[in-house]
Amino acid sequence: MDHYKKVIKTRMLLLVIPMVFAVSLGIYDVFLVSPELKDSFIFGFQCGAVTACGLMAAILFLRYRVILRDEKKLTLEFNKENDERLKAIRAKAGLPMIFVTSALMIIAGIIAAYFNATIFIVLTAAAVCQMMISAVVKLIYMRKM
Amino acid sequence: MQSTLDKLCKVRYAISAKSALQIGGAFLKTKIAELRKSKKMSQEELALAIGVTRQTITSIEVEKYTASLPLAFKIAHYFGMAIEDVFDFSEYTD
Repeated sequence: MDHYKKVIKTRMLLLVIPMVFAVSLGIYDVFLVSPELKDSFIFGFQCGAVTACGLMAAILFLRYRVILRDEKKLTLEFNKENDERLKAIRAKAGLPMIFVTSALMIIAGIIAAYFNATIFIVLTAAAVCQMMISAVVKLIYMRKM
Repeated sequence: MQSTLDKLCKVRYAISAKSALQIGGAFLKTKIAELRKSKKMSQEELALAIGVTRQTITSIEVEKYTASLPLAFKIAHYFGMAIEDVFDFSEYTD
């Protein structure tokens, strides 16, 4: 379990990166960004996406902190991560690659939005659709297995 | 050199093993629930001892999921029994 504790601590350190990124981008967006860019439709989406990433990282960070303090919760979390049935369900739902590709598509969509709005909409919709399908498949297998 | 018959046997074995262990196939009957109750253990306690989630123990008990060989071995070892005494292989030994 000591090795798993180290893994959790490393993850917590890595989670600091999106949190710092979200805060610094938030400061930039509020105080330094040009008014023309603030008027563009992509600006709101980008702000929302970055804030959501930062918040999710913060929640996960706090969760890991709680887990590290409680030995039973740590064991339960370890079992949950290494459970063969859950691993099989995740594999059937295409995780974690669906999540990675969706995140990449959304990032690509945000960049593309500065040149063409249609590409942004298509990429974002496709990413959301594939994440939803993956979630539905996961739910189905959670009931089936 | 592998003969065609060897290859066919391997394919046939893989298909039947898959159907026996996974979707569409029959799932192994187990005596885990009885053994657990005789030891007055909850599913959560057993799951913690084996190193899986409570839901996995439930799924194995209600025959919705077939445990892998290492997990089956862990369960049998925990109860101090042989695998064939905990899991019912009678359907596959004929």
